[in-house]
Amino acid sequence: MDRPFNLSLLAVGFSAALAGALTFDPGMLFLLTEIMVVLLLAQMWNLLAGFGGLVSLGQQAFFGLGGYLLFIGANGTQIPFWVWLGVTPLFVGLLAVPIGLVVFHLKNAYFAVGMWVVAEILSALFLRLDFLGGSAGIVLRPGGASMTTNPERLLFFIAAFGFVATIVALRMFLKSTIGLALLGMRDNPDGAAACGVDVRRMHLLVFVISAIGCAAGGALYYITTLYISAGDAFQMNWLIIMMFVSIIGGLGTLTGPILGTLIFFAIREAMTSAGFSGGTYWIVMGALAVAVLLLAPRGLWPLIRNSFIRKTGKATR
Amino acid sequence: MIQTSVELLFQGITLGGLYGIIGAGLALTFGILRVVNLSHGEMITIGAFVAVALVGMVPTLPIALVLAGAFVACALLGAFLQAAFVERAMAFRDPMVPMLTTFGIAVVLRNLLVETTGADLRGLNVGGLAQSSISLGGMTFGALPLVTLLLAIGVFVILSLLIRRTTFGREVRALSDRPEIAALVGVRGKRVHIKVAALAAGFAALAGVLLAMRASVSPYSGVSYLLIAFEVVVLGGLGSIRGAFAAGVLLGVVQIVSSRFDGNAGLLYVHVTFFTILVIRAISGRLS
Amino acid sequence: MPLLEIDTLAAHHGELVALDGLSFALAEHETLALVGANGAGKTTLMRVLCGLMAPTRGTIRVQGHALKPGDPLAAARAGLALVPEGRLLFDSLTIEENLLIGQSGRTGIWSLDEIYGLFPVLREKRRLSPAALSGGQQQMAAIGRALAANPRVLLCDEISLGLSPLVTDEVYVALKRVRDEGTALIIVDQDVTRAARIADRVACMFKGRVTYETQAATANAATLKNAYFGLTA
Repeated sequence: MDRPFNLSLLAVGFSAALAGALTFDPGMLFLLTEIMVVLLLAQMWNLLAGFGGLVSLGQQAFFGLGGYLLFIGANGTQIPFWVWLGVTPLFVGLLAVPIGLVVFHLKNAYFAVGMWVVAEILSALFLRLDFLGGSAGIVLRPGGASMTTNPERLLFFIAAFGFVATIVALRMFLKSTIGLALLGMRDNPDGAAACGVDVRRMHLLVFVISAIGCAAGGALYYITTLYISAGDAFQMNWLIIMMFVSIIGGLGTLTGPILGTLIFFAIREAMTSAGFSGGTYWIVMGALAVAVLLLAPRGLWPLIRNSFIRKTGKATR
Repeated sequence: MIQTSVELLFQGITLGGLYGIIGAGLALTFGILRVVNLSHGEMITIGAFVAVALVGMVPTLPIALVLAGAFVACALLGAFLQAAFVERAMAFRDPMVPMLTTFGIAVVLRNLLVETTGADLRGLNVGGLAQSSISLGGMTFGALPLVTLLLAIGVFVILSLLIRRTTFGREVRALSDRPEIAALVGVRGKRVHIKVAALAAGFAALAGVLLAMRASVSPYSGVSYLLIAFEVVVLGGLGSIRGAFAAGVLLGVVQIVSSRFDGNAGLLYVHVTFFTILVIRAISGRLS
Repeated sequence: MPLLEIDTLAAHHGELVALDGLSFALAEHETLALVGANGAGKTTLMRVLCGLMAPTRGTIRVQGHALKPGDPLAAARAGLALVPEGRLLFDSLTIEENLLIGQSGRTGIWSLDEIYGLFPVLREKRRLSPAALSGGQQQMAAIGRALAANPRVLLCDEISLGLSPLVTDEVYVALKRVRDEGTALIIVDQDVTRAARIADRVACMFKGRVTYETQAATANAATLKNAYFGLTA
């Protein structure tokens, strides 16, 4: 039942990504790639907070690292940046191990803010490093030469298909023995520990996966912009997006963050085209997040799903 | 050389006193409400902007009234936010819900401030305090740092007396020890929560006014101040007002000294100091 | 009209039934000894009475007025005060502050001086933290804190748990005085005979119900034991 579904999801995702990449105009592809990046980021924050029970306010650290390391690698060597797109996230995942080992000493809210401090340190550090352009940032020049064409079609395909593949991988992961242990640990940490689940290792695992995903998002995103700066790459807004869309859509579900992302972009695009200034949609998103937290702390998707189940009388995922 | 060191130390201590104030507010809310209030930084910037607005309306307003105005405005705002949102969020068993709620509130407040005042940095000058200075034994001390130091000490003393000597303080400590039993003996938890939130917000506003006079302030400043407040709480120990001031002074001195040697450092060395201590504590197992 | 009236009270811990439609009444000035095995529901009853836990069904009336369920402030205002199992004093407060915080504004004979008169040792230690006191002295402070509210009903949960017989005697002497001053008492104690000695009535709980009730004077040890273990006489 599950295997055919996953396979057809992959097939549909592949064709949709391909069709989209070939038909949309560059402006649309840029927006759609951004949406795919946010979908990925939201899923990564959701994996950490919703499934792993670790609320982090510093995932923008990995997003920024992903972008910067890709630029450093691509600009400094002759290796094509597509290779770096694959390698960089794994490297960031490695970096996440020592970071996690330190920050895990902080619990709950302290962990959350501790991660934020990590992101701030990286931000300040990258701002200070002159060979990275300091506050001016750097332009993507693979092998030292300027980009002549914008690879938006291939990028969109990678982002879209990559996201679908991530969802399928997460579905399989959550059904696996490790995934089930993870869910058990979230619902009852002491009980899971008593059953022999190594809580620390499980936390480290989701932390590293989340870091890899966030780094991939950063690498993808900054190829589309062709330019990166510390003020942008490590900014809090990346975290706010992934957090708000997960909370609004529904933490601990795979569909919730997708719903939240769609709501976020619908509000942003509608408000920007209606002429509201940049900050106004953040006010709306913040108010929406607070309202959801107070009225339906499990998010909108579980609410919709439950009312659907009640109406039709059967369970759907 | 000695002269510069003393002056640097003095500056560091005065800045650290302000950090101690914002840290003590955060520690107080965490100790009593069990909520890490992520909108604490916004109280600091809003306090500063209230002062900017007051001085804009009445340029000759004495500093005491400017501080009082900022304190009252933010205390009311803090009380309102606690009563309307945070208290409700605290009803959920998951402690992350109130924290994320305060984060949402912070985003809303920050962007509301951007919409009303613009995103630019603003300076604040009350009664020429930033320019005047006092000479003492061949060394010059700015009048502003002196006022800051006095205020920090004043807040520290008032807060300690409030917690140790008053009925309110008794209720605060009881609530922080055993919230259930406190309710049994008739302590009105919600009312105390609101008072604590108002107090923390008010003190944050005082610190915000003085921080804005020292440097300048933008709607985005709250984020860095919140992080410093958090670092102060972790380093100084939970619910310890004295520890908060000690940690504040440490971070303040680090910031002043590092900016002396590296003008563009910003808060880098402050954060690195915090993180290094954290790592050392983690390795030596002195962290729970 | 009874002082305290409990009508078909039910409470659950998740799926577990802790109180199963329990009813009883307590008259003014009356002392009730509540006994029962572990898990019979005594502590749950205490928690529900003082509002720490909301009942799933049933009502609690104090002097005819229904108590708002699950609201400790309402219970305190109505004159119910708890001496909790394990004392649970406020460690950040001195002994005197622990007593002062118990004062709820209700007037009565139990002023600070009267409480110190009842437990002279507390006056000696009034500036100390509860952690510096022995278990018996802590129990006295816990009783003092509850008395400071001048309650109509004093609820004592596991009053002698962890205390030496000598100290227990002292505590019971004090409780007798509290009773003689006119406060109604509900005493939960594993030590059935000792609790029954100062009580007017003895009630035995089993599986969330009162299974046996008798005047203390006519209490029959054998019947009580049967009720305690859930055996029908």
